[in-house]
Amino acid sequence: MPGGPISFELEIPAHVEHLANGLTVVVSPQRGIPLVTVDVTYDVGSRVELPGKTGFAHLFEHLMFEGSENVGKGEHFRLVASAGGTMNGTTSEDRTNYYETLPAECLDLGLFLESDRMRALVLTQEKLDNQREAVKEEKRLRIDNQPYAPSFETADALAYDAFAYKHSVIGSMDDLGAASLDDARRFYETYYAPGNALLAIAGDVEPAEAFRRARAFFDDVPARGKPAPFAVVEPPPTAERRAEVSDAHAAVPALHLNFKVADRRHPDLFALSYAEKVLGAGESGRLWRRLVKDDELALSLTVALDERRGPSLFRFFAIARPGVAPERLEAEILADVARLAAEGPTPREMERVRRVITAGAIRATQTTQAVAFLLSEYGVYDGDPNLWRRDLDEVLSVEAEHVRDAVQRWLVAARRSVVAVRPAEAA
Amino acid sequence: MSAVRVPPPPGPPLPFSLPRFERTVLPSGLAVAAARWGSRPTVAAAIVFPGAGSTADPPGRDGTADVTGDTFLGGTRTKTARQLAEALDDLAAVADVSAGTDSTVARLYVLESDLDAGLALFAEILTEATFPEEEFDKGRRRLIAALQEQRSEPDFLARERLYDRLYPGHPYGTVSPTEKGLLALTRDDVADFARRRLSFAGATLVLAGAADPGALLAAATRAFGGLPATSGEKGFTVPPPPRVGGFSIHLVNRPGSVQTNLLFARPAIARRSPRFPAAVVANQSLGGGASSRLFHVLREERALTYGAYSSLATRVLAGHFGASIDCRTEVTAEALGGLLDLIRAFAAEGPLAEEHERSKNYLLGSFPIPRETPGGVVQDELTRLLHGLPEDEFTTWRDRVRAVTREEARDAAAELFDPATGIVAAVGDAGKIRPILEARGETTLWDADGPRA
Repeated sequence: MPGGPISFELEIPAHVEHLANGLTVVVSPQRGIPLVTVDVTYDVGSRVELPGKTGFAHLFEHLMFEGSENVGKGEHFRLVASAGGTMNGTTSEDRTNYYETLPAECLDLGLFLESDRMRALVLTQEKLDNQREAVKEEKRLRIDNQPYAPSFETADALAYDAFAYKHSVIGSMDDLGAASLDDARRFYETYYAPGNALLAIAGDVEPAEAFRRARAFFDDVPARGKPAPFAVVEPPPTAERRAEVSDAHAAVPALHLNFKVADRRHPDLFALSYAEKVLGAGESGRLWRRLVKDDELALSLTVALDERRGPSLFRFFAIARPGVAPERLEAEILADVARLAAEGPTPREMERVRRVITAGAIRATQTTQAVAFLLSEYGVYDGDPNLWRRDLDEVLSVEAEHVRDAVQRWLVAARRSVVAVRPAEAA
Repeated sequence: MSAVRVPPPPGPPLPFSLPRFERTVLPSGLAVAAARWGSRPTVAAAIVFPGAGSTADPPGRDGTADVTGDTFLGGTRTKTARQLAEALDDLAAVADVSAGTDSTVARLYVLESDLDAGLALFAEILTEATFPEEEFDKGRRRLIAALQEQRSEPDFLARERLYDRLYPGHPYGTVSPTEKGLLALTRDDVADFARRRLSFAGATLVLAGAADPGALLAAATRAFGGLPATSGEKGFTVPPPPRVGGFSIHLVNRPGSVQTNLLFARPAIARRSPRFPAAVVANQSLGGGASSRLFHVLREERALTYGAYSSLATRVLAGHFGASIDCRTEVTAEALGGLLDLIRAFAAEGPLAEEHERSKNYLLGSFPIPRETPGGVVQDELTRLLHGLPEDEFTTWRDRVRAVTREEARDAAAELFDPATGIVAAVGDAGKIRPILEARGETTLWDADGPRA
């Protein structure tokens, strides 16, 4: 192996306490830079939404910045900026999080802001109407007005059967328009309980002091009931699915080719992460090299293992070179998948992927924010923030045979969904 | 324990110091700067070639710097493009050579354990690139095809039109080379550009990682120290762009758009100016983030947009002030009017005292955030070298921001932000928004085909 054996050190300490109201607190001291990230992750994402209520989890994320009992409208932004911090929130299918990265001496401010809105968010019709419009603009900006973006919604709707992952995080304009203040209040009471959340503090802090401060701000947040566990159940796959999208903004065709695969942390998903990189990562990824560089069939190709708590998606998305039909891209992708299923990765590819995973883990945990997010995800999804380290060891021990077997087992026709995207005038 | 009811004050500020770069100059003329930074076993490295950006494109050869950067990884004397890619991927290293307007920058990210092997490959790419004809042709075909795809993106169309009008006839006005320009280029143009403009004399290799700076310098010397002295053309080959006068609107018709994408820009200030900190503080109050005036009024109060921001762009030969807002087609008049009115009021009156203090606090407190990683401090050093800034530029930056008075911020805004002079680029459905724009000023209609449509 040209790179030699992998040797690396990556220790991320994580200390855990549970408050009486159910809130889990994780503290990770990261010395060196006087910064701290405060992250509160709630165990709620768009997957819990029902038909007619899509987009609500994300719309609610916006409302969380509109003021609480002791923080006026717009004040959250101003307080964080005045302290020299940055902040945001994000919503995915599987969770919602809120975070501030602040000078370490401003830790209390982050804890104050997060505890105040966890305890007593102030919701009004005016705020709801205002943020409804902001979210509609976000949808127009990121999806409706962009080439290819709407076709991702079609691809997800085609791949999944259960409503949980079948609809988009940002939702439909009609549903956003119909969202009511009662919906918001119910949502808050149900999902924004301390027992349904995890507070992560990562940065230049001493753990005992960080826990003491966390208790000072969060101990009096009243316990509320924890929502019933939610599981995404998909029926067994039966046959390949196909759809076409006519895209008013696209200049050239594109193709989505997705396989519905296992839940995150399934051992086969660790193996499929090798398949993802052998085919698509770096300048030497097999399929990327062939489609984009050598045969000049695609302008771009993304191979991505979209890990979800329920069934994940192994995604291929390619934008065609002018004159190349989606059908040609599909045939080429399937040919490379078939080769990988028959032969598996080479020893050199396996070592390369191990090194890419190692380097990725090292580079992806260089900031307090990234560390907080990593620990929050494992803490909320799995109840153990330290599980990431075991997963990293496990993924690094995957063998080529397992990769081949996983490709044979999961990247099969019955699990496949294909969306051809064509410019509107050519449709 | 009772709830805390008021925002808690900060504790005493904790010290934060930037790393000190240790330096050497190799026989080839390549300067090297290295610093210990970060806690993870990874190294960020970059070589900046000042002046070797699109401003150095030979006459009639737009896109030369761009395509040269793209073609560097096309192969070396001993490796094909594929072998080079495999060698980098074997190390999980990332290497890239890319041209901007003012410079070409080559970057390398590598694990500390692979530093020697990574730097050896990096040196091979930069000194032994052969620019094979086939790889040049492939790269050019890819850029031409990508142009067609980019023309469906509203942000690209808006930037293309804005820069073309803000810097007419100047290399700063080109966001992407045209198909015609790309077809006129030859492989020899690219090889010649690399030989003339990307010589090590005048270039600097900057490294940062958790390793000892002496070890980083030693590794750089092992990889680059044996190369002979080189010479090439340095500096800028074009004069600064002329400043645009008047106010004009340029509408790119994108039928079917559900939004209008609006960009505004006017000439502003060079990075080297002693008034730059005041301009940065003023811009922060106006549109630097979610706590700033544009965002607060246009999104939080008026629900016209997902976001509205302003910024200062700095090139070596010029700088400009810009602002942006995207809005649904139906509220284009309110959004553009609101944006320009807010900028005009701010230019006339400057920041409120509370805005001014908040902006300074934000800039001071957030200073470490982009500098958490080795890549962050490498970027500082690249910026310093490119703009010819003093060695203490970033170590004294916060002191200079702290010293900016509200009057200085107001004066900077009055001089640099006034929208009476400037360019508006709008991308949207002309059938619906043309009359709205024409009511605001002289409006020229363009299609999406390119800068000279």
